[in-house]
Amino acid sequence: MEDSNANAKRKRTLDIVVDAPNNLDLDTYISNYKGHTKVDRLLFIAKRCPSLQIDAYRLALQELRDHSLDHGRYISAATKLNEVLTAQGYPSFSIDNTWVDSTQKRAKSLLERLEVELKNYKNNLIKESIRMGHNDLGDHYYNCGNLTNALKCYSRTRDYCTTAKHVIEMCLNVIKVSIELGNFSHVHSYVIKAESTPDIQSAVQAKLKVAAALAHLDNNKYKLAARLFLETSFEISQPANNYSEVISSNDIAVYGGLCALASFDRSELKSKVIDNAEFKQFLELEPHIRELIHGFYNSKYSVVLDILDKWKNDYLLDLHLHSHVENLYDNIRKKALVQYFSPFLTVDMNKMAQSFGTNVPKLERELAKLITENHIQARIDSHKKILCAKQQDQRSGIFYKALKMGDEFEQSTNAMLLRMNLLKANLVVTTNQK
Amino acid sequence: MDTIREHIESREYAALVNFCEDLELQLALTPNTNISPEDFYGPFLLGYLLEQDLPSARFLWKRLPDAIKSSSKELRAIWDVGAALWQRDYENVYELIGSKTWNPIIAPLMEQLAENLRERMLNLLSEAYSSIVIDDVVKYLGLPREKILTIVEERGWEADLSSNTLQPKKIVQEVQQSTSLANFSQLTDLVIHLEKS
Amino acid sequence: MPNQNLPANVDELLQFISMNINSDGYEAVAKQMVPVLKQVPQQVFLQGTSDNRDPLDLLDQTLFSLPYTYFLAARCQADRPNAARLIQYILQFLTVFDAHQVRLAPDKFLQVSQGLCRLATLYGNGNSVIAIKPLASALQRYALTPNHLTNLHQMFIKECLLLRCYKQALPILQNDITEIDVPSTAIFYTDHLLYHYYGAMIYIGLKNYERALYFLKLVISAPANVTSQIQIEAYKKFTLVSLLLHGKIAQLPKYTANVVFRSVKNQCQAYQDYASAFESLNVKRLRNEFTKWTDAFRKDKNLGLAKQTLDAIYRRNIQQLTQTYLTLSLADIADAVGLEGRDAPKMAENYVLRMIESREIFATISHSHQNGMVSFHDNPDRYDTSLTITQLEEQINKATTVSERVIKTDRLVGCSKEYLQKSQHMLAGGAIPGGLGPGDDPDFLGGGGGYENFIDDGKYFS
Repeated sequence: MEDSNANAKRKRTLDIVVDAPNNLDLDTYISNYKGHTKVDRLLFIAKRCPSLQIDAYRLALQELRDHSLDHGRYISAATKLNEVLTAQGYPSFSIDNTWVDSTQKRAKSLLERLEVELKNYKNNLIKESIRMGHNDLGDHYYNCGNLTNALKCYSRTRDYCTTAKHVIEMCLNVIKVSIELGNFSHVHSYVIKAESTPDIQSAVQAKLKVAAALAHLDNNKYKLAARLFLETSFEISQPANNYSEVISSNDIAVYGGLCALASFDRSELKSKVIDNAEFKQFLELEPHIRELIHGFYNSKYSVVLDILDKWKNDYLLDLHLHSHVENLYDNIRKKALVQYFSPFLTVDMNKMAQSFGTNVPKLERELAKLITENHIQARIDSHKKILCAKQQDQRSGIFYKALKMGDEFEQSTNAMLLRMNLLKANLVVTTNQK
Repeated sequence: MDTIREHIESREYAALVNFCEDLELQLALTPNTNISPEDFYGPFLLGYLLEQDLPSARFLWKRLPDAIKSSSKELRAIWDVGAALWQRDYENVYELIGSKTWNPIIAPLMEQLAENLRERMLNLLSEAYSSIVIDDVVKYLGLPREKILTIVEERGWEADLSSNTLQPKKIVQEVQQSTSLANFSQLTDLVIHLEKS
Repeated sequence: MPNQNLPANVDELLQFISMNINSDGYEAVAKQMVPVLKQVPQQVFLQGTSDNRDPLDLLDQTLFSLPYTYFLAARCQADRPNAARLIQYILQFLTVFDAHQVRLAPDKFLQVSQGLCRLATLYGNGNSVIAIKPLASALQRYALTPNHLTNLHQMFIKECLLLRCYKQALPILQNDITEIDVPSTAIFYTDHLLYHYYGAMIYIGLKNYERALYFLKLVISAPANVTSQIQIEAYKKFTLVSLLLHGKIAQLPKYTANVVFRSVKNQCQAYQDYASAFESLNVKRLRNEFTKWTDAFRKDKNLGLAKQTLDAIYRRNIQQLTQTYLTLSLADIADAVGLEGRDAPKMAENYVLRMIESREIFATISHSHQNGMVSFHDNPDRYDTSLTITQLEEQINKATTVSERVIKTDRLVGCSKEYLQKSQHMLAGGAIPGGLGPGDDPDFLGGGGGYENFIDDGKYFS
């Protein structure tokens, strides 16, 4: 059920403001991440959720000050925080100018040092040193928040990679930066590049799957995204292997579960999700998603809709998920409606409306749309409020087609004959004829 | 003119139209003062209407010389009926037909037109409705209520006077079911053709 | 007879004409006469004889059809013809002419026919339909077969349009044109374009939209190196007729020239926008587009057609509902299809009734409940009657006939110089369509025997 206007819908949801999340605990939530994504997520929440704004900004500032050289971002976040504080009548946050100054200086001298070093390596023509030099410079730019330059440096290491491990390192760096830049087509190609290296570690494999899944998600390809999330090894949740600079294991459960619900049929849901031992471990982290999937599979639609409703605000505050929430929810609802009807020849629309938490007129419109889009082969008895399966009469259909085809055949053959004869006589529309 | 009358009397409207089409040509070539435009164009126009060829009736009206159009009130009145048919304003059709005294040559055609329309409507209503408000039938047939009740009773419709509705009786069409030897020979020919190409 | 001195006056001309008749029949002789007749000065054909008689009275119209055509054509071109008299001669001539001879001077014959139409307007007492029927029957005899296009076709259909004699055009229009013979008909590509364009207009007037669409397709998909304005105008009508019939723009044959596709894209924006509004089945949107483009439609003389689509969208919407609903109240129908106002349910009922009559839908309306309720049914035709068999038989017969004609034409094309040249060209380039060269059996239908130069595979199904 790919929605043709999925992108239009995404744009409309970009500026949604969420008053308060229903379940989210900011400290717990954010402790799953580190580095840039932690700041990105905090600032995203700060922008969209007034009630969490102040806390989110404070946490972001702390992270920036303690773990980065990105003084520019620190100042801009601090300025925004102070706007909020002033507006609400609180005393303003005092910017750590000493840190800003010293960081500025430190960053500058470090950059100069790294550039000189790289130059030397280049003169000496030692491949591995040059690679390291580019890499260190890339790390430095990354720490300073200069993603474009970081990407350039990481990409430059490509020519100096001598082992598979180097290639993987290069790819993961490029992927990480590209995800932050939102350049997902880049993500795609580097995942493919990394996957083609020999003897790839399973922990790396898991990261690559997740990165590719995010790229598909961005492209509204929910089914492909779901498959990759579901294939991700639970190893990724171990401290040694985690991918917390990009995504948490909880996210994998949520993204994977929702994408699967939105795009899988019932049997796929059973074989690829419910019977998936690996993914089960992810689901343990987010029990409501497990409940959601089981509810859907067991046709307990009111449970499903209830859970979806309760968690919607949380998802709208998710950096990667927010713009897909409407699409995913739409698809899940449509699929639920289709699945509800699938075993029956007739269905009482009053009962159905009840199961889907709606009234009959609204349900009728939803169903009419599904029938028009050919998702349900049925017709609505609006008088008795019954949905009836369509009786297909193949024999009549074939006769109808045969008669129609006969007419068309005669017409198009005559048209062709005329055309052949026109060409033979050279009666072609041209400028130089009368 | 006699031929026109004959066709009208024998109710051969297709022939009437054909004859008039030829006569129109002749009259354009050699005007005949013995034939008044009304007596000719009136039946001509009505012939098209009776043949349910509304576009042709419309084009005839459009190509009528202005002099004739403006001089004959009756022709204008006939076309008004045609225009009402064109707009499917059937209530008005009956009213226009009934509200005027027509020329002796036109009158039987108008009567026939109304009768045909009624028959057509009765068939349509019995196909399209499982129950219909009597007032609507009055409009579609252009007849008084009492008259309608008798007509539909003859056709086996049920009347429910409490709800003021009629339940039309569906007309069951007889279908021919036959597979003749000719079908098989046809099939043989087809197979031969396919073999050939 | 070649190298003979040109007749200097009408007496000599008449002598020359009658001298050349012999027992072999006139056709062979007539052929040889053409160069002479072409050179005779026009005024000679206008003269009376020395004993003051009119050559039109002296020559037998059937026996001397060729020269007679020249005389009539000259008279028609003259400044002040005696309309009443000349019409009589022409009408008479049109019933008795010898088609073989007339085909030797197609341009003159066209002048005579055009002359008749002009005289009819001069003479016709405000009603100039005189020419229509004689021209129709003359055209039928003049064409080699009913499937041949002649230079008379488009002017005849245009005349029918101008004189509002739409129905009278049908005996000609109902034969599909498939044959072209330039020498005996003196046709240009414009003859094909205009004939089918005018024909489409007739069918539109008579509300036979299937046929109109077919004619318009022929115009648009005509072989073209550049786009003719006629094709542009045809495309505009094609868009609107498509909407009336199918609710969306119908597909054009794949062999439609690219240059035409490009031109219509650039020049028919109004129509394409309007069509996509119609396809959305959104009445409000369609009305907005209609208002926006009303002037364009009016300028193109398509306003009437466009107005019909405003009505058709309701019917298209109702048709859509039959796919979705088994029953629906009239009020809901009105709402769903975009009818508004207090009378909306009644309007919906009228649409439904109309569509039941025209068998666009199968439905029953019930007023046994407070508000009218409509039940939609499947097509009750189970295709299990002898009528179906008869219809299928007819189709098979037709298909057999046309495919035999294709085979015949294919064989002709396969042997034609053009085809052989093109095949040679392809051989040189190394690309042989379908893997078969010109040496292969050209009878092989559909396997690459001969059309590839003209049509892609499978085109006759598209």
